[in-house]
Amino acid sequence: MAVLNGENEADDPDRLKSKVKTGGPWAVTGAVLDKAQKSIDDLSDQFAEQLAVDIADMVAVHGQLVGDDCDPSECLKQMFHIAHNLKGNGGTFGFDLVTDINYLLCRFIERLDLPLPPQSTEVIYLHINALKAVQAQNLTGGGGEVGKSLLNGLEQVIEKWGQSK
Amino acid sequence: MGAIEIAMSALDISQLKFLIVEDNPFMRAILNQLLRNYHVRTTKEANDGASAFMEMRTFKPDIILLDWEMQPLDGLDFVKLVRTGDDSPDRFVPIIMVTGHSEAHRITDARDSGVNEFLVKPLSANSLFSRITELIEKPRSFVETKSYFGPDRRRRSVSYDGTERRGGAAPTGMDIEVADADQGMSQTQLDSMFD
Repeated sequence: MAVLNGENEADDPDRLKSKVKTGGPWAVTGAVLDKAQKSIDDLSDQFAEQLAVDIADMVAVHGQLVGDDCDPSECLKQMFHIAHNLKGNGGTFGFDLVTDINYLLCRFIERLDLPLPPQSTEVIYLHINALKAVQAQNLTGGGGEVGKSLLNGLEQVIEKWGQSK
Repeated sequence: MGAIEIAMSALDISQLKFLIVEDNPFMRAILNQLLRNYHVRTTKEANDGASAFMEMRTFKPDIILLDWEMQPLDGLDFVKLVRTGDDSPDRFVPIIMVTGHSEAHRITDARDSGVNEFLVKPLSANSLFSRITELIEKPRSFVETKSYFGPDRRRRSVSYDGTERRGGAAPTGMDIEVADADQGMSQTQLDSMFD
């Protein structure tokens, strides 16, 4: 194994240090990080709007899937992509339940083979419905008892679906 | 969300140039906003790996923030192209993968393709800055074997002039036990795969 250790400027592991200082007016202090975090927290309203758009997109893709109106493989990719983005973004804005629901949906989609097994589109739609409930009730964090109930319900449905396959 | 509990070195990173590679406009805006708050002056955006590769030629980023799920060229393919492509503009550029994927096998794939750091969402001001700080304070040497080119998959031990003020010892060793490779991992667990 050859270790490339700074013979050229490009492979110098410390190449970033020459452009970085410690302290000074532009240093990232704890106060700067607090302010940066607040600026993200302030975007949570925009996330709620984005959630509505993404749910509408999921409904549209689901409609194409059910109506045999698309290549199922492409439709599943699209659905996974939306769910994956929501999974990542939900928790960033305090919508942990959005992350949890989409985690289940992503894992479910990963289990699907083509042709789609019976009732798999129904299971996908239950996840979309759960997201609609989060949006309608503005369920932040884990969503309390309603959130637990939604997740438990989805997990049970997925388990039953797996047994009936 | 909530108070920032981890104290980090007060680094001035304002002179570093960042390339944000992310297909989701909302997440691009968030990353840009965070960087602006860190006083970073120069950023560029690309919405997939192919356009990022083009941007690298002229923009010459110091650090790349990279999403995984993109089309036509996804994050993993982009890293491989940067690290091993004959026409790569910079094989050594530090790359932080910022993604919702937290499954062990995904993290292993990212590490083995040559990413320097892996940040699992949810994103926070603190978590992103801690990854940037790792690149600066604990950079990895690059290594070349028959089957791999990229940052050493074990972080090299370096002394740094600044005072280490982060609390808690990070787990060490790459070969951590993961009961189910498809289970999501916490940031702390995945950090141990990079340390």
